[in-house]
Amino acid sequence: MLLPEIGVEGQLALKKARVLVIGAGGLGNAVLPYLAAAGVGNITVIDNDVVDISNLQRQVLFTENDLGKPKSELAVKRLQAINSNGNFTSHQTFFTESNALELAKNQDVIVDCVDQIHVRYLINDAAVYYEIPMVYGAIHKFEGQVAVFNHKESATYRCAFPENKTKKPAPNCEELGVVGVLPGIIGMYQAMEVIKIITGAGTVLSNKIWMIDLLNNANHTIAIERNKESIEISKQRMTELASSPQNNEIIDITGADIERVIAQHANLVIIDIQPQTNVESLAGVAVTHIPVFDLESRLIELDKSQPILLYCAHGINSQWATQLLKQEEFKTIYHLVGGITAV
Amino acid sequence: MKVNALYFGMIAEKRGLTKEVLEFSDSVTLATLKEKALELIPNLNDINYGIAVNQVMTTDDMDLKDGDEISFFPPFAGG
Repeated sequence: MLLPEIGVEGQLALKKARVLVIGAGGLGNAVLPYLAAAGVGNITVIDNDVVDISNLQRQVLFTENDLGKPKSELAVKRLQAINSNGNFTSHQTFFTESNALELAKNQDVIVDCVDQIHVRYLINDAAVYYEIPMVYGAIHKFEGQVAVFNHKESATYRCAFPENKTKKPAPNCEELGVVGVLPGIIGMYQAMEVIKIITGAGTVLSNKIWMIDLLNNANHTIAIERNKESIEISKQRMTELASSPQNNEIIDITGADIERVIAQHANLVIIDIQPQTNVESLAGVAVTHIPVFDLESRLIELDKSQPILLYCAHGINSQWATQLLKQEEFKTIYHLVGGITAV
Repeated sequence: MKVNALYFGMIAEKRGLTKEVLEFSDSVTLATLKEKALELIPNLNDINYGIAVNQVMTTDDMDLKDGDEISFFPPFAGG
């Protein structure tokens, strides 16, 4: 409040603001406490995950006592401890085509803290549909990217990275490893952009992508432009979603549910999408092995009316895969949350 | 002529370098440089990436000048 760039007016704007933070992992753990501490009055946190011990090197809101507990709920408890006057809400869910419009509705800013490229496109499309900015952060080992997309008709995520579904899904932190400090730095940069957007202070990082390499102390800014085709793709997708809610569904299950699901469906098809696997059967049912990179080209082998149970090692690639099946109109899709290693 | 190539994320990993100077006996276009990059970086086209010339993203072909800086940047996934 003492800073003239923010002032009383800026502080009141922060209090009134509604911010949707998607992902309470490494980036979310940095974004969230700084937004709450800055006085952002309304924050919604979305994350489907529970805390794993491997998260603790970078997700500093959580402790050893939190293992196995939902991240979204824990994060909100921490935010309430920071600012008891704040209105903080958690949803333990993925951000999907089924809930995107509902969750992004009436928000002022969306902060993208997810670890899956296909979810980033969905966040972008929801932001374009509601004409609100998306504050992007993404990390790769020692390198990070930050950008504000769709701010006052600036370039969007699709403008920077047109979607090409023939390309391999980029690996995330769980698969590659990441230096714990990196999401902290990138997440705080995102928090700063959110504060600038809400208060009008300074210049927002729009029509640019900022990249940093912590290993080599290098940073680069790339200028990007909004293009009509990308905006059209986003609008069309969300308009279709708004007008025809899909009647197929993804059902999240855990290892304890497998036997029940098998008992429910005599014709259940179980698909293992790990690149390599030695699992031949689950609870007596044969497992079909389709490596994740072959999944799209081999969908033709599958019957869309048959129920599918799909899993990978840690439940990350399978999120992308279940969304693909949903888009391809498979009727019933069971998703093993946390993957086969959690069973 | 010489141009400075910068690689980010997975592309830097595939190349094993974050930057290098590429030398050509003649003047080149961006399309020619992309062909050169494909030779140097196996499976470059398996991943999605953008290209910037002197820190401005471009999707069009263009003539390059001596000393131009060409960035190959993929979107990162991690969060």
